Amino acid sequence: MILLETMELTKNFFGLTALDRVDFHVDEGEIVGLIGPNGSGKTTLFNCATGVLPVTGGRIKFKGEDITDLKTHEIALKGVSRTFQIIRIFPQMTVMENMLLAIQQHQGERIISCIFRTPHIRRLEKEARKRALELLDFVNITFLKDNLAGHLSYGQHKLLEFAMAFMSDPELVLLDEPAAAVNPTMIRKMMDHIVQLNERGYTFCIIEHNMDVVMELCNRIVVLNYGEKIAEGKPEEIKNNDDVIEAYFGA
Amino acid sequence: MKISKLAGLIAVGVFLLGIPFFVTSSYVMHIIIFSGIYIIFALSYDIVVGYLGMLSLAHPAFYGVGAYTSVLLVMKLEVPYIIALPIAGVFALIVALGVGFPALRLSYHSFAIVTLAFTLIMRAVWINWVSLTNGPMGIPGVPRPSIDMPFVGAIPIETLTDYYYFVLILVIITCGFVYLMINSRVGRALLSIRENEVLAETLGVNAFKYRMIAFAIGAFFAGIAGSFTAHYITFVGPEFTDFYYVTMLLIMVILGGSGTIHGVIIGAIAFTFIPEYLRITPEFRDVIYGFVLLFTIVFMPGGIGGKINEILAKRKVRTE
Amino acid sequence: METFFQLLVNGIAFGAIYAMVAVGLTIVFGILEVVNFAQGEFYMVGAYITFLVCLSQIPYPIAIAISIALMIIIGLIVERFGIRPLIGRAWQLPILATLGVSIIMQNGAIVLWTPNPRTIIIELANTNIHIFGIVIVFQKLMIVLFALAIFVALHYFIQKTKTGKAMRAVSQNKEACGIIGIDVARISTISFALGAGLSGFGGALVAPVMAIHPVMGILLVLKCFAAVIMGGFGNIKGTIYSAFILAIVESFAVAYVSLQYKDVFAFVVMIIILLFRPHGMFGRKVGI
Repeated sequence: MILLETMELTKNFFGLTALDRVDFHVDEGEIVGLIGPNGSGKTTLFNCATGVLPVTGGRIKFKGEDITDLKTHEIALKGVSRTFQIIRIFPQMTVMENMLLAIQQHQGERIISCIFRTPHIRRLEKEARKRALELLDFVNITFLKDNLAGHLSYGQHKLLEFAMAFMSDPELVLLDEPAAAVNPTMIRKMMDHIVQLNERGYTFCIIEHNMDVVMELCNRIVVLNYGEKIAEGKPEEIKNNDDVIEAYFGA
Repeated sequence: MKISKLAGLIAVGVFLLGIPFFVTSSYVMHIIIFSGIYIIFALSYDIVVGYLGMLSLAHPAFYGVGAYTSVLLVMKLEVPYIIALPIAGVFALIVALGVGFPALRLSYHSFAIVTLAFTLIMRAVWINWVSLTNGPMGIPGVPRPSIDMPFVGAIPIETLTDYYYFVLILVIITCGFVYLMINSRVGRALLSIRENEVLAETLGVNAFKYRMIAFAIGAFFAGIAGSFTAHYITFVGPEFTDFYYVTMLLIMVILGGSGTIHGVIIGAIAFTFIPEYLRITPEFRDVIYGFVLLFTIVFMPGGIGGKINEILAKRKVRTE
Repeated sequence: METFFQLLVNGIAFGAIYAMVAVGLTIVFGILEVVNFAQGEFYMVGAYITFLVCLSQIPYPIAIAISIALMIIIGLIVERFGIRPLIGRAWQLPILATLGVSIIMQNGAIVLWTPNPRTIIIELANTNIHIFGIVIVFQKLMIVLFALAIFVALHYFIQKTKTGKAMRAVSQNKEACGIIGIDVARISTISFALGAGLSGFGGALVAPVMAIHPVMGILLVLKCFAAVIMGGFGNIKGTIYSAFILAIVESFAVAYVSLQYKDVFAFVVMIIILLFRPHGMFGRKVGI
């Protein structure tokens, strides 16, 4: 089943075309790599898909439903979560609080019952905490749960941001450069996490510059250059694709 | 709960309950009651300015809406005060929803200006809609509240002691509500919006919805404070929207410590008492307030409450 | 018909003042990204300084110059001690600081000069001029002419001079300016002083024809805010147009709708515009 699909997606910024009629899709269960030189429009694609940027042309669909004009939080509630190139977490709150924030159940959540802690809400909170601990365990930063998020190291930040993306039990996870500025051991850990979670049923789309990671991790790779999709296929095909090589190394 | 904390709370409770017994001066009681009003008013303002992080200049308007609503309900429709009070708050809340719906979509700067415009518009309405509000003269002779309780009969609120206990109850309710709200998901959501709105939205937080909630709740308690004031000083008038209230609120919240309950309470009490000790004209006092505000903003933006939190945090780190 | 033109002319005269003060606001916002809540007080103090100087038998034109100079100095002080330490921190802080300055100035004026309105009597200023059957007070005509002159000068300054171009650059992209060697702090200071000077000039110009009192600033500045919002923050042309539009609407509304709600019209217009175009009529232009 196709989870995320863009049709002729176009994004213009004051005359600069960041995305030019891009047709792109992610199927359930895949790990799709989104690569391309700097400025090719990868993060812009993520931003459009998550409602952070308004779209100039084309449509975006999630599980068959048109999400092009939806707001960010509405898309998030449909089951899409993402991380950012420049890590975004809440530095003034503790790690646990960050995790708890990442889960927003809106079935039957009333403001008054939230404030007055009805048993229903209390149960939801308990479950949320349990889940948070599980995820923190999974990435091995449970010991930091009561620390202020701002005091973590860069690597720990990345792990926190990564863990937060799963709190809402999303169907599709968009990772923006998960291996950037991270040491090789951590990269290996991150890749293992991704593989494990993919086996558990999460679908991934990953923007990455680190070619080793991309080649090893992804079932399918999409290549953008200057806002256009120039290639798509299995890792071996992309590795030897002339257009891709030219895009990266110039002519 | 730790024994020492519980003991402390009980001591504070006993102290508060006993105040009418050892305070003999009615002048001092009057100031105490007013600090109670200001605690509610300042906390209500802090919800918007501190937790939500938006500079709203509409709070005096909500205060006034609450005051006029409850006075008119009691005097023209003979609604018992115990019902008029919450209705006043709810009405202020509804007005806030109406203002907030367009205003909260604007940029922060436009929002500040539009809320200021709203306060002025309300003021113009109160001054000019004479048939309803009696115009610039205001409505004097507001009856003192009388609480009709089932089984107990009518409890009149007339003496300073009566008013004191009544405002104490309202203060406790307000503090309790604010405390619960901050420590609930709602509070967390508000904090997340203030810290990083894009991230909050990506995590599924509907920033606009929470903005409306905070703005409305802030207005509700402002309305309550306004209603109490009107039935205490037995008068309501357009003065309730004076810019002076903005000055007071800002000083109490900013110097007290925006975002901290204890800080705001300290700020409210301090700035109700301090002016009484300074035998100077209100304008001169406000000049000083202006400087204090500037000084606080530049050197101590967290206010007193923020400083207290810092000290507590340092102590916690040291004991670990 | 005469009344129509009379109202129009009155509106234009007021519009000129709103525009002058509002342009100061919009420049400060464009460059420092701060809403200067004390702008009205700069106007008020400018008027008072003019009054005090005239009281000492100094000719009115010199009084204007002194007012402008003093307001520029006050603007420099406020910027240096109230705003600059706060840039870069939470966005609410500089605005709160200007609110603090506004509180100080308003109440200071009451303390120093009492709340009683003051007036300056200048024969020439109050002479009626008859043009095409319309009566206009000489001073108001001067106000419009001066304002237009200022706007032309401002246009030239911003488009052609080095400092003006630097100002445009800062309002478009502050960080980049630092990198290419523009002293952003200096430009900020100049802009703020410019805003204060414009306000002071406005105050000095209305002193002969309006009652001078401590709260005259607040009433005016809110309309100027409305003009800035409508015109688009940082958008000088838009602000000027909006200021005139608001003043003219106000002039007609007071005559045909209601005198009592006089101060409210500008806001109603502003709110209506914001409902349909939250970024103002002309949008937040990228740059001055």
